[in-house]
Amino acid sequence: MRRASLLLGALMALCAARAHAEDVVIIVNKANLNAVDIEFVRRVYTGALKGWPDGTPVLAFDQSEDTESREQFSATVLRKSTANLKAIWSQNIFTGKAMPPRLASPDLEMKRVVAGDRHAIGYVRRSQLDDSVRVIER
Amino acid sequence: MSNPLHKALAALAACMLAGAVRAEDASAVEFSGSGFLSVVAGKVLGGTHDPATDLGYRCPCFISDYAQNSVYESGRVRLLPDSRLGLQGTAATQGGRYALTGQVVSRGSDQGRPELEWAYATAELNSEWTLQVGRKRLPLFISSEVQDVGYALPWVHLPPQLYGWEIVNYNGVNLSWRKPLGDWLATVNLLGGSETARDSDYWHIYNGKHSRTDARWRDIAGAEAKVTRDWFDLRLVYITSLTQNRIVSAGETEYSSPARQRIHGLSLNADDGRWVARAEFLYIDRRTDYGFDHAQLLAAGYRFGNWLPLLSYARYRQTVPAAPDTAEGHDTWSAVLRYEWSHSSALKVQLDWWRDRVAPAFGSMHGDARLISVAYDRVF
Repeated sequence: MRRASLLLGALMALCAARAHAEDVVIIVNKANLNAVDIEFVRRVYTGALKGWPDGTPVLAFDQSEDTESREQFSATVLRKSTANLKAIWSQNIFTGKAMPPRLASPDLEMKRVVAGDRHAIGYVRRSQLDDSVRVIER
Repeated sequence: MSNPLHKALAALAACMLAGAVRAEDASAVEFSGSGFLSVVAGKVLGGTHDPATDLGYRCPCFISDYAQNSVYESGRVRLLPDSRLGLQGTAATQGGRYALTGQVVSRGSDQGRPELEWAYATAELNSEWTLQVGRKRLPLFISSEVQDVGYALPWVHLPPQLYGWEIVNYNGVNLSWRKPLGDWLATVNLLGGSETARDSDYWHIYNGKHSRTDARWRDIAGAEAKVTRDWFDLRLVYITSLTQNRIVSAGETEYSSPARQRIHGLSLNADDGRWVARAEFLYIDRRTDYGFDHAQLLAAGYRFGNWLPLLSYARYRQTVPAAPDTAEGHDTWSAVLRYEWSHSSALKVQLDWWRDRVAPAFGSMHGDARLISVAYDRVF
């Protein structure tokens, strides 16, 4: 019985951790007035699109693979597993179709680079959001 | 680089990068490197072989990649046919708007000798148009360009009924365009160039393991169009060229007369994160040479967490109107199990059943074969 209780407790803790995985928000520079949707973001982060609707280049930033923000972004925004994305980017890189997003981690650094470049796009946890950047609503 | 076209392409590529670097501070050039590795072990489990046919291979044997002369011969476990290491370096400026890329591949099938297989300059003309000049993989099929990057594929080796041709690279120019059209993303790629494969690996399989054949494709011109919607894409390709070859080991010094070929391809690919499905169809018109080639591939798989089991069937048939008894044909059923070992590596095991369907006068060639192969693929 004691072993069953321990197992139940561990499962509940796991579920709680899942439930509290924090939402991420997509951010762009405040001077960037392009109207884009979630499909645009997915295409940029899979290397299929390289420009904003106004024709200027997109500068995409990603967080480190081991961060909660990256995991949440891949799962909830891109809706792809990390392995699936790695396979897509392997194709892009080794065929010269696209260069991978640059790294800007953690959230504080991501906000700093996006706030400093009008072509940039990135993402941070919702709790880290402030008015230095503009949010793309999902 | 003795061909004047190659010299012109090299000069154009150098000019593109020089112009880009001059426009920017040289210190703004960013260097990056990546690589891929596949360690593959395979063993022929059985099959058939006609002793009257001796091409120098120990058969029953399984051809896993015609273009690289990757043949698993019978007997012990073989590590060389499909194992390979690729290293890629890129120098880019202006955030990747201009770039020079080189890729060196070392293959077990080539005794590990490193070869510069890709070398090209890229210019992003704007957000829709990209120009590339240099040496690249010819996009005959949907996965041609990543055929060497095992991690990017569900198979240990792609079905050879489609993915096997005498020329796989070319020196030339390609101009690509991409644009969102509603929920779809459209891409079009136009290409042109030429290629000469001296001591073609492909022709060893037909003319003998120790033979030497040169193959040449001139006036390559083609277009590929793809529409993508989230998890689905449809691709059409048309490529034409003049083909010639000469069997040097048979004393031929002149190339055969140029024969026009027209390659038509259609592929449908779906991957919604769980289901994986693919259909590819190839039709080649080489009526001024021997006739026609037809190849098809059907594949389906389903992901369970880190596991992806996949089943595929590939078929190749040749039509030779003047001599139907000499037509080549074969099928392969493949069962693959892929496991995601980490975010950048995968383990795979694949079972293949090859059935020879050649016409009587073609000769038994390599016969039927069953192969088991195990692979460790990674990218870095």
